[in-house]
Amino acid sequence: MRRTFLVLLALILITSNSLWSKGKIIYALDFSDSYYAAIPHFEDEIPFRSSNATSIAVGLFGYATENFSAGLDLHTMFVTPSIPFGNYQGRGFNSVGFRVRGSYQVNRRVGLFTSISSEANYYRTIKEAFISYSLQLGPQFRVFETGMHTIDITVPLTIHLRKEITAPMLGIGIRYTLGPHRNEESQ
Amino acid sequence: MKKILMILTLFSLLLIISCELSMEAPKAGDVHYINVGIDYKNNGVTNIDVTDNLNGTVNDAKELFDALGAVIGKSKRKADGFLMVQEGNSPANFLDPDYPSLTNVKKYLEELEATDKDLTIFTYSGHGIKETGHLVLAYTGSKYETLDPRTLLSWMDAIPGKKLVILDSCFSGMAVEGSPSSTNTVLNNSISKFFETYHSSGKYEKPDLYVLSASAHTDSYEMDFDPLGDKPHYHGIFTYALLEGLGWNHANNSPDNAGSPPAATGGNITVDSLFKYVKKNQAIPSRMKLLSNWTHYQHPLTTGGPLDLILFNL
Repeated sequence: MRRTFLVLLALILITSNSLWSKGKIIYALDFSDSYYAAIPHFEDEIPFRSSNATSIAVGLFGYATENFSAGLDLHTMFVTPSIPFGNYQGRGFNSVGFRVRGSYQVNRRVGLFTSISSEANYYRTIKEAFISYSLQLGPQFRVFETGMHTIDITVPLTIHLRKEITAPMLGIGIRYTLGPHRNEESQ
Repeated sequence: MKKILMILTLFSLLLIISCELSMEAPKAGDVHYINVGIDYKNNGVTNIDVTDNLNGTVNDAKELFDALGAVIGKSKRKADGFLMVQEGNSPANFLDPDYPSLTNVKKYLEELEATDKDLTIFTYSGHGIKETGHLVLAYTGSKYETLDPRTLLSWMDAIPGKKLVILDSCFSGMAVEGSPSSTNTVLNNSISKFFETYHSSGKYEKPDLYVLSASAHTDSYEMDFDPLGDKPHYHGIFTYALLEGLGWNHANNSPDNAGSPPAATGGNITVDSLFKYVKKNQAIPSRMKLLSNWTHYQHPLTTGGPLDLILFNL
C-alpha cells in the first residue's frame, strides 16, 4: 500500500513539474466503450464471459511536445454483468484508478498511445472490492484540430489483470485534449 | 471512416461469436428446498443464549416454502420441498422427521438425493448466537442444540449440484466465508486489505455453494408487518423483503402468479438479484444513517467473487 502511494506521489510530482515549466500543459477528457472478455484462471463453464465496459477518464496533468504527449489520468470504468450462461453470470463492477498515458503522433492524422494503470474495483451489488492492473495500447485518429483543441478517435486494446481473471478489451473511444499540442508555425 | 467501420464490424463480430451465444448451456436439473423455522416456544426453560421466543420465524419458513414452490413452478423445473417447523408451546415429537432438531436436519441433508445438475436451497429462520453466528436448533427435551454454520456448510457442500443457504438469524454473516479474490467492504473497508487479497496465495475456484445472510456481524430483527390487522403477522425483516422479491403477495398471503417476480432481472433470479432486492426494500436501513428514525440496521451479505449464481430462469 505504502509503495503504491509513493509511486503515485512520484508520478504526480514528476508530471506536475510541467505546471511550472514553459512546456505545453494539456488537459484531456476521454470516453470509450469496449467489449470485455473475462478469461477465467479457474475452471468455468465457458472459456470466457462477455460484458460491456464503459470508461471515462480525465487527464489531470499532461505535457505535450511536437509529437509526444504524456500525462496522468484519473479514470473510471463501468463493467456490466456478463451475458448469463449456464448456472453463472459474471458480476458487474465499477473501477476507479490512476493511469499514466503516453502517446506518439506518427503524422497529422494517426498516432499511437499506451498506458498503465492500477484500479480499485467494486462489485456494486454485493459491496465487495478488489484491486487490478491494466495495460492499454492502440491507435488514435485525429478528426479535429485547432491550436488549442484536438479530438481523436481511439481504438484501445486493454488487458485488465484481475487476480482470478485476465480480461482483454477491445473498444472504440473519443479523446478531447485542451492545450497547445503543436507549434502555431507547424500548422 | 472506412477504418472506423472496419473496427465496428470487428467489434460486432466479436459479440456474435461470444461464447455465451455460440455454446450450448448446461441443462438445469431438479430443485430441492428445505425450509426451517423455529419459534422456541416449546421449551419451558430459558437458555443463556436464547433470550426470546420468536414470532416471525415460522411465518418465514412456511411462506418461503410456498413462495419457492411457486417460483420453481414458473421456471418449469421439478421440485421437492420439505418444511421443518417447530411451532407453539405444545409438546413436540422429537422423532418426527420434520421436527427441526439437529439430528433431523443433519439426517435429511445427508440423505438428500441430488444430481450434479440440481439446485438445493436450505433456508433457516431462528436464533443466531452472538459473534459466532451458530444456529440454535429446536429444543429436544433437555437442551437446545447449536449448529456451527461451518458444519452446516460442510453438509451442504457434500450434496451434488449447486447449493444456496439462506440464513435469517443474528450474526448470520459469520457463515459467509471471505472470497480469495475480493474483500467485503461491509466487514473490512481498508484499501490495504484489497491489495493483501490481490497478492495473497489464496486461489479462487468457481463456488457450488452460496450463502445469503440477513445480517453481517450484527443482530437481525423481526417485526409485525400487519399492525392494523386482527392479529399480528410477524416476519424477519430480511425474509419479508426476500418473499416480496420472490413474488409473494403479502396482502393475500399467497404467491403472486401474474408476471415475473420483482427480483428477477432479464428473466433470471440470481443470488445477487435477491440480495439487491432485499437490500433496497427491507424495512430498516442496511447501515447506520444520521437522519434515520431507526436506531437498528442490518446489512445482508452474500458469497463474494466474480461469479453470481443463477437460481431460476423464468
